[in-house]
Amino acid sequence: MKTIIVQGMHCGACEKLIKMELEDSGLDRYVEHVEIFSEEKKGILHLSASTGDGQVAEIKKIIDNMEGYSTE
Amino acid sequence: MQEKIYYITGMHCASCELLIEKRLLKESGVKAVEASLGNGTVRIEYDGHVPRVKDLDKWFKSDGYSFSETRQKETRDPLVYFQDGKGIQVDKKVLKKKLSTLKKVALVFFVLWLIEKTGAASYVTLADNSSLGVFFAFGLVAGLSSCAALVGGILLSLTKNWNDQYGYDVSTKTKMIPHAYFHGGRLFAYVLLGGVLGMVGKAIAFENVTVYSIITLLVSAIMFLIGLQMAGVGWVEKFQIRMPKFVTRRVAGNGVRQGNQLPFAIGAGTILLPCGFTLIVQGIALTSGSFTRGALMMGMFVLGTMIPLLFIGLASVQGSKNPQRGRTFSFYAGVVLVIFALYNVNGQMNVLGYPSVSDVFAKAPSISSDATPSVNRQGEQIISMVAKGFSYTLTSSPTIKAGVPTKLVVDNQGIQGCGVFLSARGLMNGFVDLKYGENVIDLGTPKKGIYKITCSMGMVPPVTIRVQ
Repeated sequence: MKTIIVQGMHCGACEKLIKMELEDSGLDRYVEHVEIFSEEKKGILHLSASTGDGQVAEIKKIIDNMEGYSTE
Repeated sequence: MQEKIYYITGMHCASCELLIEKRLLKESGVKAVEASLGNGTVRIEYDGHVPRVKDLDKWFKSDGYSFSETRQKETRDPLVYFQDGKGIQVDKKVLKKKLSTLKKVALVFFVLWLIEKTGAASYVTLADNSSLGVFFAFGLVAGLSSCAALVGGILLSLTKNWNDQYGYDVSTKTKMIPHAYFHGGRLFAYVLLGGVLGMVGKAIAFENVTVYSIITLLVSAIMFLIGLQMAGVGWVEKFQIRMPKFVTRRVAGNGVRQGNQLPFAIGAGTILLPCGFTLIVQGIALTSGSFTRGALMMGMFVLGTMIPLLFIGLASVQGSKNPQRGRTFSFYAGVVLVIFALYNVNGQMNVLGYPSVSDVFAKAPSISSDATPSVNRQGEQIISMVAKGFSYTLTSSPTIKAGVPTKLVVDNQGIQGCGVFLSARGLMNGFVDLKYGENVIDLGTPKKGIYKITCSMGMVPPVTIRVQ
């Protein structure tokens, strides 16, 4: 399964915010579930098996453009 | 365009603000939204239809936010209440809790007062040949006394913003990151300035008392308003004294990579504040004649100040562990900030030579204002003063003649704290570093007016000189 690590993501509001942003580009459907590590201020997006590399890159780009978050 | 403010409970971090803003901006008619965690509000600018409380509650139910048109007051157990048959009763549990909090606040003030009164500063005297350990000890004393009113106050104001942005569920270690950058900025600026002062000497000495005063007054005004905000004074909330959101959200975001430039820059900027102790060390660094020695002197001094300031930062982070504790801490920290700000403003009124609260409590001069000014053999008027403890005592006439060459003679018998750096705006330029023993300061030919002689921070009760 493909994953994206998001630095700065620390709570449910962050998760929802990122999902809303992805929703605007129709990419939210690739996110299957999210794990959040509050103490580390880090989240992991677990993407569906059908997510292509192009979509992964696009998701990363959107998140990187959001203030306070960055992907690894 | 119309505006509506709703009150929110349940927000805990900067992402909550963004989430609310982003969601509301999707509504037709909503033109702009600004949510504020610190104030617990959302301000909506709209045309036509504005979302109602029940809409908002519905949309954000799963996020745990609750909206209202008026601020939700916490229900607290009353300290005093009326009971049928028993009359007026005092809740002993509430009383015990309140007394315990008051005791803690009083203890903080008592410790600060005790340090100032014991004259700890006089036991740590600096000279250009002092060891670096002495500079460290001097910094420690500075951080516990009058400098705490200024730098500690700024730190408290900033901590409110930093804590708000991180929210309640983040570890102390993470919340201390901006503090580390703040102190890093201080260390960097002080070491650099110390080195440069040591290298180029007097060429870049800070001489303008008015500029120092204006900086301090501006900082104090912001501290005052933030203090009132923190204490929960309603009308101040509309001023929205916070760092720009693009900055605070970055601070709250990726704690390592982004956004810590601001705490660093503010920390570095504290070098512009006229804390008396800092001026003393700067003065000594000036005479060191070496970049390394000047940098080490200032570096050790700032490391000393760091300990009490880190304690203030840690206390504020601990105080914001949960909403209840956060509000209580915010209230008391707000009160402390307001006191610090007023103390600083009063001091700067003295430095600028304007009326202040200090005038009300000023000791009457022992010599009548009608007494003839003392004149030396060269025909110069002499204003003489003794500087001891934390006061200046005038030993000559408080009234002198205008247009006559004048000297100020200060007998330093062990002045402490900022008192070592004397200011007399209008009578002389800059601050004068008082050496132990007799100090003769040329005041030129003073113009008519009323002048105040005080320390660089205006905290030593001023001596008023009338030139006529």
